[in-house]
Amino acid sequence: MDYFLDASKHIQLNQIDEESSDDFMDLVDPLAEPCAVCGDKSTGTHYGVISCNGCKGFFRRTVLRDQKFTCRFNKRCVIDKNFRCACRYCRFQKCVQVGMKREAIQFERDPVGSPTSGASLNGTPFKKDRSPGYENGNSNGVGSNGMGQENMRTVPQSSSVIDALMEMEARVNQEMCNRYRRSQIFANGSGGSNGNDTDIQQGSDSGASAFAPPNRPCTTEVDLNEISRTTLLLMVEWAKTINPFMDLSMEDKIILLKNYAPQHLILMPAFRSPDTTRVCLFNNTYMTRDNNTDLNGFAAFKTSNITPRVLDEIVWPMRQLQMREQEFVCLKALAFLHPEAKGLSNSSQIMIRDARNRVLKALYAFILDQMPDDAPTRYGNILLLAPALKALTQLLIENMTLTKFFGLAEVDSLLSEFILDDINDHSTAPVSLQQHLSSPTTLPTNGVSPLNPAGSVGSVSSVSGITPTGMLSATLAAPLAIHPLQSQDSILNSEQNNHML
Amino acid sequence: MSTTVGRPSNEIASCQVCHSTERTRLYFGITSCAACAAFFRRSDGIRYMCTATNSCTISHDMKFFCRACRYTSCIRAGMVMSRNALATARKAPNNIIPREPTPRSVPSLEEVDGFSKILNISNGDLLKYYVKEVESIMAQQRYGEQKNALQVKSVNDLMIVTAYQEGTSLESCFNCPGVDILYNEDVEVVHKYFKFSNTWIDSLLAPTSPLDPSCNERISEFIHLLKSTLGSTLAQLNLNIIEYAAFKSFCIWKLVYHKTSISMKIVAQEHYEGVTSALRKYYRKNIKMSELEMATRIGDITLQIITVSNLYNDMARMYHQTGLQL
Repeated sequence: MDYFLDASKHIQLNQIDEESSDDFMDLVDPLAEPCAVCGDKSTGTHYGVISCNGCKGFFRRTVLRDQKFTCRFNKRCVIDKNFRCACRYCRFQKCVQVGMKREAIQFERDPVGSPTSGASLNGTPFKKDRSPGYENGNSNGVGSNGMGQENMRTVPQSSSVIDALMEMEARVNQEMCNRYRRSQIFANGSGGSNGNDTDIQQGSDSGASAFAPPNRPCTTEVDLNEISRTTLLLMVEWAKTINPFMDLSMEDKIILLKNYAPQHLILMPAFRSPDTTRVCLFNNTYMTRDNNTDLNGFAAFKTSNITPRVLDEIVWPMRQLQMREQEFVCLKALAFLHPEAKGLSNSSQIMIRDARNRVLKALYAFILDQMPDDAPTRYGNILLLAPALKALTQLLIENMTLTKFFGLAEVDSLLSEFILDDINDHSTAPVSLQQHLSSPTTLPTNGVSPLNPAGSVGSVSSVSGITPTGMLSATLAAPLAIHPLQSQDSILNSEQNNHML
Repeated sequence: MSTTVGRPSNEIASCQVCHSTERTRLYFGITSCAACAAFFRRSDGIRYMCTATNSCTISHDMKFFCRACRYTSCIRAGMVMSRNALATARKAPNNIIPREPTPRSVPSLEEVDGFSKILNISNGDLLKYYVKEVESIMAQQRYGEQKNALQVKSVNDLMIVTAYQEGTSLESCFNCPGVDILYNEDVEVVHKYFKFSNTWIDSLLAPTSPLDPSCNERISEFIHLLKSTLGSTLAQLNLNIIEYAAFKSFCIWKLVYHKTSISMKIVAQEHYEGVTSALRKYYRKNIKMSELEMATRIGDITLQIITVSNLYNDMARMYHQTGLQL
């Protein structure tokens, strides 16, 4: 047996030499380095290691499905190009040994392959036992280039409304994953991730996918606030793609954003929570009904009355309906396009109502196409989530107002500008909101440091120092952009930086 | 390297390819195990190449190291791919007929007037109850029995209006279908919503004069907000009396401002589904509306609950500031 394996290894080494000489004579390829796991031809750096498509997919499948293997020999099997399928235990151990990182897997993506260009996602994102299809060998992992902002007025079909919303949803999710994963990798590497001030936290924050179940309860306030800020900034970018939004005046834009921002913070984790026992957050933590006593007293006061109601009135109906992502993006658009927000002008009300009616038509046409028998009931139940969401939003605003007024904890200034409805600030619009609205599609690179509005009640702490996101941006020396081409360039730059490291 | 598993006794048949004794049966003409048979079936049309010297040992725990030698062992042991037998076995059964797409027609069940077992009332009668309520309120407004809440000038006037609505809404609340099976806490919540709807939302039905300058500041602020948001929206929607009755039932049962029990949620859901079903039937028979227009209209009315929920929050704040009881 040893002689057989040694002979096989000897032959394998000869083949490696031949491949190297062929590559050297044909072209100078930066990907000529072999796979660190099995020695096959690599397709780039995956999960932090130069690896081939086979080992990359094997590692991801093992982690996503949480599989456990057993070695039938003595745990010293040879892992090379020909025998890497013989023993999965030793292959996985070698993947971990050469440095593949479990945290580098982006759980929000399709677990098998990437969606093709122009195709919309089908099925619920919580379907784990999806049948394995053709695996896309895209080493960059960048989504397909979108068509940009579609003009909904000129396209009469209702499915194009949902397609545009789905495309923007996928882009925002991917940007969220990119930013969060980079800061997470950097934080784990450096070990000094306490650059943020202690800020107040929200009852519900942006949620992560349920592909990897959350592994620990939510105990850190700093992460929650950072995720809230990132979520709100990406929400502004999302709002810019909704068609009548850019035609409004600055005051009407701010009114719509302030009306929608707390609903966004509740909707995003609610859709990604798999059941009604806990709200799954983005950093793989969760909040249960009784678990909030682990937080400090003020945080427990804020979240103790919101989390159970979010689970009962938002998460439970979503799971009962088995809500699809197409329906979810329509619900988001319906919650955002609210023509009766306080202070909107009459022309803006008419434009927003027309856009909302288009979304209503598209939603009903989609439901009628999927399940024609009980379409009216399903349609009504989805629409009824919007009033329940608004009621919980008022509860969230009241909690933040009380906390800020009595000085129980320090309120992050960006969150207070987005969420709190201060009467004194009605006359003068918030400065950072105007900056974000008038800036182009590039997101800020060095974190957020908004100016404090004049005459605000209580002490408001600015974001001092450099946030992990800012440090990452400075290190990568590439601006984060939500535009596909710019995003692709920045990811390529990050790939090269990782390669050099 | 040349280790060979000894052949067991003659009673236990072993695979002639890998000498395994697990799940051995007659496959492809020889005695083989299920694993080698499956491998042979998969390898039809596939050519393998050995990276060693074409003499690898095939045993039950090393048979998958080299597929070329394994396939060669299958052929050498006598496996034959019988195409006729496989073609016969793989033929689809004759009784499977491709399913035709379901015709997209309105189910006949929806034409029959639905009946709610929980509320013990049919959907048409449920909507008629609300229409009767609205007609009664409009009659009171026409004869001047009820003072319009939009014309109050002081906190004292508002107290008089709310005291009058206390009794009226309590009677409407007890007459409402389904309230008898709720807990007392839920009945109190429904009563609050009835008071809010009867006092403020119904006031938008009557034509109103401009606001008096001597009105209380907080009350006038709330009245202005009520007119500019919900008042203008209702004017744009131009609801008829049946649509307004449905809208009012949504305001009472789907505000969800307070935390309620499961039974309250069930009764509220029954009210919403019953009223919307009756409203769809009314749209289809009386107005001859298409399916998509019907859905857009009902969606528009349903989403007004967001505005009403905002107004309830503002009303609670105004009552708190003026010292009134909610």
